Amino acid sequence: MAFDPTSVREAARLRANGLRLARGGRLLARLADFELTSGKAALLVGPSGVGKTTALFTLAGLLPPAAGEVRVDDAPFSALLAAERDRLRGRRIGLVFQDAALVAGLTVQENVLVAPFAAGAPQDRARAEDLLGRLGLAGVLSRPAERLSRGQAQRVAIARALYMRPSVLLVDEPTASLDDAHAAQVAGLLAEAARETGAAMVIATHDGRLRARFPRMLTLEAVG
Amino acid sequence: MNAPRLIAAFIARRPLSWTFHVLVLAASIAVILATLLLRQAVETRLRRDVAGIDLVVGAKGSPLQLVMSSLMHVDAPTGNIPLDVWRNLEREPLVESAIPLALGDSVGDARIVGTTAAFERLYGASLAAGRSRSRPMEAVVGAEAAERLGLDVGDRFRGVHGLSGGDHAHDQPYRVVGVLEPTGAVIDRLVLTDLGSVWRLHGEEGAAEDGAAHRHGGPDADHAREITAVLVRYRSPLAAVVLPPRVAATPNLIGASPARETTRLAALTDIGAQGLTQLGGALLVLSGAGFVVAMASVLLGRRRDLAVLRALGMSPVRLTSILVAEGMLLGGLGGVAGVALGRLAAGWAIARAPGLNLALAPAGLPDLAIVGAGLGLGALAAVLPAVIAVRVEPAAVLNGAAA
Repeated sequence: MAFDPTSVREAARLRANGLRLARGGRLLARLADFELTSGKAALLVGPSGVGKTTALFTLAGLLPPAAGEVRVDDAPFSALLAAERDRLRGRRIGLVFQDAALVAGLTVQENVLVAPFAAGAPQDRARAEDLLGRLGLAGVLSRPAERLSRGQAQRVAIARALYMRPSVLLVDEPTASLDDAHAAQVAGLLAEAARETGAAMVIATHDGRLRARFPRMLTLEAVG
Repeated sequence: MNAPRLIAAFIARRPLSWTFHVLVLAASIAVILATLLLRQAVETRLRRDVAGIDLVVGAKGSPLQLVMSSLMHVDAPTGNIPLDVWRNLEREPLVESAIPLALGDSVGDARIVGTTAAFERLYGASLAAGRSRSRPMEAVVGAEAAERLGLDVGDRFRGVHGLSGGDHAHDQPYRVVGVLEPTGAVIDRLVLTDLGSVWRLHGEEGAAEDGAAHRHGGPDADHAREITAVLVRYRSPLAAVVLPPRVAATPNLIGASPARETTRLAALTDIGAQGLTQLGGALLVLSGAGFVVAMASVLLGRRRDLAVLRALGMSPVRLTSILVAEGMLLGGLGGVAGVALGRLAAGWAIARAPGLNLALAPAGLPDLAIVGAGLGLGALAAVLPAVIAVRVEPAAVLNGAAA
């Protein structure tokens, strides 16, 4: 579905209001309020050690905010009960961890199908194959995850995050140790994925190379 | 993608370790089970063969030997006793039944027992084919003996002097008139005939034989009317007090209590069995502890995968139950392999001693209970580390760089 920017204002898929992050009971950082609509992407930036991953996990509902709220598809995500938040996360939020975090012992295709399995949703092998094919992994469908290159593993992780057609895609340091060519390739893949699925995407990064493609920035400020 | 596939992938990551733990668990279960099965087989065999006999009266010698030869039919008889011993016991008011046995001949590996029809009744044996024996030189064959010797109703065979493939065959052949249904008792392996037939053979050939037990002048000579033992069943408890001393006071006679002799025998085997059971128990404790430790270290070391599954939306309860199922699968495997190994070992031991005619108890509730215990051990080993591992906040584990 093509998005027409001139149409009426679209509902935000991801919104943060007055978000404060804490770690170990100590206030850590403050995230400027923002909202992202379908297909829009932004970089989450800030000085090293300020807690970009913490912020990303707070947006994912894996950590409670110290203050403020996260809304996903206008639902008060951060205020839900844990069980309901788990359920919603499985269905609405796609997560790409910094080191792919695939399940060793399972094949590439199985690692993608872990997403609907964990979320308790129906599994469609054809969809998993299609996603992997578009990410250039058609040839390694039945290869065990532990025998993939870093780049391949990351693309499998992206396919896993996209499988559930999430409203929100949260990506942690996707280009941290990639050379320029590969960094550009991954950035392109992510931009395309967000556009195609209509997900709002937040990429936590300190990599300046991504700014060219994702000009919008969410700034994390250290507190205290 | 499903829970069994996930469990299989988790287990397959440490194939050697789990093979080792499951096998050690199985081996310790097997030692205990095999010992119990063998003990049970011996006890069942003894109890069946004793068949409610209170006293065995025979020629002086070892009481154990008397019981073994006259009830279990595995040892050599202690000697011969006069027929009158039986007649007197039969008339005794304290005695419910007295069954005479004349042993000494065999066919193939089956012993020929000269006795009365009360012997078949003692073991509750009924005819599978043919009829009961009624005339001299007629034989009724136990189920197993008939099968092993290939004997059927109408067949003729010659008895051989001696209990295990003796040296010379008697001239007069026996005729098979009946084959018995299997009973599970010793009678299955015996060939039964009447006392007269045994006397007749030994009377006719007496001149050719030597030894006190077989010195005969003719078919009707007094010393031909000898038997090997009498199986006695008491009518009242008083008999247990009165009869044994009276038998013991008679020259050249002894009375043996099958219950006491088999208990003594069982006590001897029990010493070995107890040692093995204790060894198995110690092994089981060690292997069970090893299993628990392995399970804990594996599950706690898997936090990262568990955090990913939690992050992908899996509920803690569902995740925990998958891990517990993994433990149960491994523990259950140990139980199943233990039962299989134990039965294999017990079967092997029994097959090595065919003369004892032991039978393995059929698989049943105890085997299921062992598998159940394996499942329980697995669940127990997994549940605590699983709860701990799953409770860890996914963010704390996955926050690699920022933690």
